[in-house]
Amino acid sequence: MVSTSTSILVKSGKVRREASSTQVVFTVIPLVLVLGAILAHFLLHPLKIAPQPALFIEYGKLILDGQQPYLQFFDYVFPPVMYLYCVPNLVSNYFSIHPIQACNLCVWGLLIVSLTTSGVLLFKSKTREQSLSSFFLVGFAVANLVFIEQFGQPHHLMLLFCLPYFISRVMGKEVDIRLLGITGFLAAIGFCLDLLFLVVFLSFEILLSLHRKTFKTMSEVDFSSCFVTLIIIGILFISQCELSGVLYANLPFTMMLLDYDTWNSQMGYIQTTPDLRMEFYFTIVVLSISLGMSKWSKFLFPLNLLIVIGFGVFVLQGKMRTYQGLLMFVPAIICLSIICGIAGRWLISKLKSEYLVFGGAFAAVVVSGFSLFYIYNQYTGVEGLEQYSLEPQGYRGNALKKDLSIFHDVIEKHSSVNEKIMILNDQVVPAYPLLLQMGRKSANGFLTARLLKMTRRARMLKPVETWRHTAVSEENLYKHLRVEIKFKSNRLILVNKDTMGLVLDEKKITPLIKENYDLVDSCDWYKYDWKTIYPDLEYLGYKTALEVYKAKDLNP
Amino acid sequence: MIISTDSDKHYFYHVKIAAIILIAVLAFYQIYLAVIHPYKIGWDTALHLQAAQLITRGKIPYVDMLDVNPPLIWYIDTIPAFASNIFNLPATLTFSFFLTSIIVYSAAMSLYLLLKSKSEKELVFAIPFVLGLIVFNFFLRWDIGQREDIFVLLYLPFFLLRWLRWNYKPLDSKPISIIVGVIGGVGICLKPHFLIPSFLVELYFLLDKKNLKALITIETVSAVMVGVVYLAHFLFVPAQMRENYFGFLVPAFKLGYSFWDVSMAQMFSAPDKRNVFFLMAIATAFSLSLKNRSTLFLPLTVFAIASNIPYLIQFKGWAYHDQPVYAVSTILGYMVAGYFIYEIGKSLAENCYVPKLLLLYLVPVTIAGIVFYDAYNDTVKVNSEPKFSMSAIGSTGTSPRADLDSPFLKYFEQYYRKGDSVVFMSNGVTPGYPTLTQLDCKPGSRHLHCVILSVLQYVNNDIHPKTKESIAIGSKTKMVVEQYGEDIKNNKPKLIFVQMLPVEEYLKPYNFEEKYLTDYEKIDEVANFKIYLRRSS
Repeated sequence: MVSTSTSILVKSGKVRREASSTQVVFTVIPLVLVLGAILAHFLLHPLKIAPQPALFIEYGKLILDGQQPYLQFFDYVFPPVMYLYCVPNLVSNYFSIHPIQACNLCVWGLLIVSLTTSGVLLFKSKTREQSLSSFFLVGFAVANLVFIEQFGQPHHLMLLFCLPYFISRVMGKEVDIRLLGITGFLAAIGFCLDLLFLVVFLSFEILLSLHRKTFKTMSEVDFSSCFVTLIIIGILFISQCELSGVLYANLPFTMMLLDYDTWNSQMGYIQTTPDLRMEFYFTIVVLSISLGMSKWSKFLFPLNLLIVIGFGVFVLQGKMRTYQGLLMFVPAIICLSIICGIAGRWLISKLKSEYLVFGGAFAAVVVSGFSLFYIYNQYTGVEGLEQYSLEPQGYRGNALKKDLSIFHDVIEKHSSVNEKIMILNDQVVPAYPLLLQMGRKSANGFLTARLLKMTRRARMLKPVETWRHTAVSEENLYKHLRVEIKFKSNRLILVNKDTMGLVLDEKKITPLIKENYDLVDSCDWYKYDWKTIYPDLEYLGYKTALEVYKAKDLNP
Repeated sequence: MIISTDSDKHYFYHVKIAAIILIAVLAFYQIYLAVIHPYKIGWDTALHLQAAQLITRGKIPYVDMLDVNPPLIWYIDTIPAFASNIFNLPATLTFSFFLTSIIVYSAAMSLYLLLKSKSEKELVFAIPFVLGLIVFNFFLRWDIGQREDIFVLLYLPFFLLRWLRWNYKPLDSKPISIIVGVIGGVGICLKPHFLIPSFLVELYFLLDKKNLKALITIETVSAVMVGVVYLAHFLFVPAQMRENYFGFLVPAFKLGYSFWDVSMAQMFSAPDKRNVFFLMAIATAFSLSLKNRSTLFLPLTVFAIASNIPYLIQFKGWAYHDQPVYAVSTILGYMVAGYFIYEIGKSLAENCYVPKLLLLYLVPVTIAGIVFYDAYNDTVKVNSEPKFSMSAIGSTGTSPRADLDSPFLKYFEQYYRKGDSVVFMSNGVTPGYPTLTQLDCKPGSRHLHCVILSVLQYVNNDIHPKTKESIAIGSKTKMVVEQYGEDIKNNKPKLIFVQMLPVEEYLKPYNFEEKYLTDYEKIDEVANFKIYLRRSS
């Protein structure tokens, strides 16, 4: 059977310059309610945040305090994301709200910007598929609600910054060039948050050019704006943060690359990494259907491409954390929304095309109802729960005690607000968001000890030429750590012997800790019913207890 | 664009010839490899082959030999098993020939169907498709011939026939449609998991073409009939076979197969696995970009991506479980590379006046060169390697020792003679297999391995809360141990290999050694196994 290239959708679609006001209304109402549901969640849970953004807030705070990354604090995170997180700290300082709440509100604001820009791009573009724009936007908003636990993660931010760009690259031929310029600028911020996102950017552009059989797409305004902004960001970093840049290039950058290339054998066994099978099944089935319907809407092509690129990036990162899969899962949810739109439209067109408006209203009512139900659930769910005052930390209001991270009781028992705590573990959890939630300060330099773990793993697994040039920088890290321990700058030191024991023993850090600190407690995961109390906890490897050491002369 | 001009027809003819040369060269290479490695076979493949040999000797599956796998693969493997009996060749060798014939069928039928489209744009991808389809087999190493491999080989001609029907005109020949449908159906029925990618591909075509009628055709009905007949055959098998399979093995594995589960990271990102998924991501991303160049790209992408579902459902991270992903990603990779080479060739032909046919025939010539080089290297390697003479065990023939890759070989040389039976009590198919099949050892117990003990252990210890079913299934451990004891008493195997960890732990509560191994002397402990030799010998 020879197929026809004209789809039912196109046959039944009308050429329009802009979306009708009815359509805009039917889009804006559910969007406002979904955004309201997200806002309600963060207002009711002011201390809820994922581990990585909490860490980045702390980095932002240190940068605002005048410290330089890789010189005064150490990690192998790509630098722009640290600088970006200065923004929530500024907001927090200005409004005297907790940095976590400030961060969530900033990201929520960014979501509005992203949706608005995308909405303008979609509604202004001249397409027969105008009706699907609403499904695109609502799908994206709902995806944010579905993955609300990942709010503020780098991959989430990247999607927020870049979604309008992905739309403009496919749809934005007849849009105001100023808007395209803004889209490119925003995308550049998103792409520079992680080295891998630059890979996503390049892959997307190359594949798009190949699809269109021309590289002329790279002379369009949005691409040019994005590319130029990226260059400017690079130049700014090199010129303004020269020392940080040199240090970053020496050790953290190498370790970041090696992290993709080495395997943590602790992650091999069951339940040692998050189990995302259901998300995968969903994505695969949606992608299969979406490919089948790719002729029905040109929105689907960039989304399908993103899912496939996202899968490659996900495998490369190798930790299977939910946020690392957002580049697949979020486009899959948008695809599903569009598929629903196509199916609904097709069904209605089979009945009577005049009913299309009722179809749109019905979809808006369903999403709005769901959002209202979510808001109601949130409100009723927090009634009567124990409060945790933020006043001792110098911020307004209360939070819920149940939102505090695992081991908050241990930290509360052995330390007070503003005291410094060092947590030596090979991952961000459990240090963050715990310390930020409880107003404890991070240890000088070592907010996480993953760089120490990585340098050792590189020495053990990789040929000497790979890491030889990092040896001096590594030794400097340990010098810094020894000083930190010797001078007892921290009230507490928490050590995960299982993940860090060999690292600390090798460099004789363990005896130094024991010399200056007393073992006073332990943080045992299994003391808590963590699967029930902390269902979103994503920890890699075995959940082995952390030893709690207290500075000797500070002991009661 | 349909091929219509004389010049196009001439080129079309030469594409066909070049592809046939390619298939012939690679098939000969496969046969040559089989001949110089007559005993080389993977562990699961060897297990299935031995089960098939036992069927040819009148044994009843799940009664006289126990393993959880559905029986279709054993029925298929009776073909090489019978051939081995008739031609007096090692079963491993006839299996290799059988596999080669499947590869040749798959490649030749695929080529036939691809060329049937008579479309100029699809013609570009005929050779890369066929090349990818054959070549991926060479990279499977010990996992060649697994059910996943056979599924891909049997299914792809069916896939192409479906593609032809959805996109171009249906095949005129009904017999060929029926043959391809039946063979495709056999491939899909090898494991229930294979229904998922096959279903999603059909769903893709249906959504893309919006033609419900194309779902019910000669080939689909033939494929479904295979499934129906396969299911129905269970009604006619001996009652004991049905009872053991559906009453014990299937429920036991349903409950306890998670014993070997791993983490998501181990599934996708372990260093020995992730290259397959990188290949898939890159190949499918390019396929999406090139989707307008061939109607094959998107359905193949669906198949590659959907094949991750069976891999994830099984959740073991065993490399062969992702073979369909690997195979189709390789084919897509070859098609993408083929497209770029074609574009370069076209440009050369147009701008530098290089004859098109010269460029076309460069493909089989280059492949033949690579094959010759590899064959020469293989020959040199085989000649320089130590050999194992089958005369040491009272049989005939020799094999490169590396192909009988077992730490227990010397015990077979020393104590085992053809006709003796051997028991391997291991909670994995390996290391008992492939050795037992390679040396043509009679299994000394109905349990070809004791994977079932780990499954029952998991059911007993790790399933909470307990249910009636789990208690009933878990209580079968005693029965299995007693069956082992009974078989040892009746068959008097010459050698018994008992895995120290974890199998010995499973056996301890039943005093297995004291109760059933009194006629045996422990002669050694090697590679986590205790080796027992029958005393009377």
